[in-house]
Amino acid sequence: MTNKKLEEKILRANYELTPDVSACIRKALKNEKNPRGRQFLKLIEENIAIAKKKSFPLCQDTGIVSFHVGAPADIRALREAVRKSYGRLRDSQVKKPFDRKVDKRNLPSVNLAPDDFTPSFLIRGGGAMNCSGLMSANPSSDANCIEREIAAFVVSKAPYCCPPVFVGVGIGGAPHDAMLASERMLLKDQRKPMSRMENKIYAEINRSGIGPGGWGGKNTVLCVRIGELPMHMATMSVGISMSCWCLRKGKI
Amino acid sequence: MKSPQKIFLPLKHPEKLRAGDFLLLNGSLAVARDSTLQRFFASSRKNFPGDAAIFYCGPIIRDAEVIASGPTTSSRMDWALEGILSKGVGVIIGKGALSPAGSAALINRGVYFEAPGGAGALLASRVTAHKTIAYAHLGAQALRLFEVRDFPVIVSQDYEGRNIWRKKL
Repeated sequence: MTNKKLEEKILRANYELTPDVSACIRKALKNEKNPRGRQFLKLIEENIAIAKKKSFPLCQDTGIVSFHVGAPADIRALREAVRKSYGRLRDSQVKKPFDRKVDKRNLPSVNLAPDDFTPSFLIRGGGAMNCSGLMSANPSSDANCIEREIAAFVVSKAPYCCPPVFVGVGIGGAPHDAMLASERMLLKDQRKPMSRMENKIYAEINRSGIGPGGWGGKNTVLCVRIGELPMHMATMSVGISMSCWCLRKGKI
Repeated sequence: MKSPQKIFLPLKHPEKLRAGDFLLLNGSLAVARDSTLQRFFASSRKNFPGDAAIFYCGPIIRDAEVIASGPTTSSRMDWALEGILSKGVGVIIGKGALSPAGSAALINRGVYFEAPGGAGALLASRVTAHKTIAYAHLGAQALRLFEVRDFPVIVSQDYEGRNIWRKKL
């Protein structure tokens, strides 16, 4: 693919949601009964319509781009496409932790995905990244225990991450593998039916009543996706990547 | 849901609002966030511009037009609340729950409104004019002034401290 096409895809992903994500939001509006939660979802739908029509960013936090690609990838080309497209978006990156000068390169995160994974990118803002995390669980934990831990983690973070959220979970691998797998789960189709375990976590989170925007209701999470990896026998890394309702992504 | 109340800033009767009320704000907001506030408190003896209301936001301005301007997570700015209140600002606008300390600091001193998180394009369409006041080199974190019309918010914490989050956290 030429760089120009990739730049256009990155920009589009900031202006328009993918069909799976919009379908999840529409479904939430259909079944949400809390009047405040409904009000939030209606404002979101209006936002989606304005952004699409005017080619405006859905969210001012156009975040950091994270690529998941198989080898060999032209990393320099990926960086260049982000630098160029982000000239029309927001510079959210700073050069150093403490002097925090703006970094106009908007350097993306480039990650190695398994060979059978469609090369893709994910865009997340600061709120969503701040609400993600890693747990090192006891390898003797059973699935019930891990489900409860994940649900409790998400409920504690969702208020700061523009709910209704999407939750990607990676279980296994080295700690960083679990985190990367959890990000890849956000790149999967969020409409497809959830597994039994995903459904249990989903239901538990939605019992919190946080609701859309935290304004109240039964839609705190829209989808949970779990990926499993082989791991060291003494470990059980659980990576959790959160996304706000505005899950922005694309295929390369 | 009751129909929204139109509010004109500066807010004259904060005590009349109740947590959960849906409002449409009209007036001018000081736009500031993390680094803006650090700079402001380190270097400025002035008051915030606008109608005694602060909006936590790092907007995108393209070709002199505000094209995305949703709220950012308020609890990150709780360290600055005392300073903000001491400058006479009584309306805080952002998103998400405040920390317990932030929430306590506001009681009988100010109100906290939440704008819809992530609704950058919609909220930009309610900004009628904007001006950069200081720290332009901070980019998205410059101190700005926004004029807004029918800017949608929910009262997250009212003047007496009633709070839409209380039962959930």
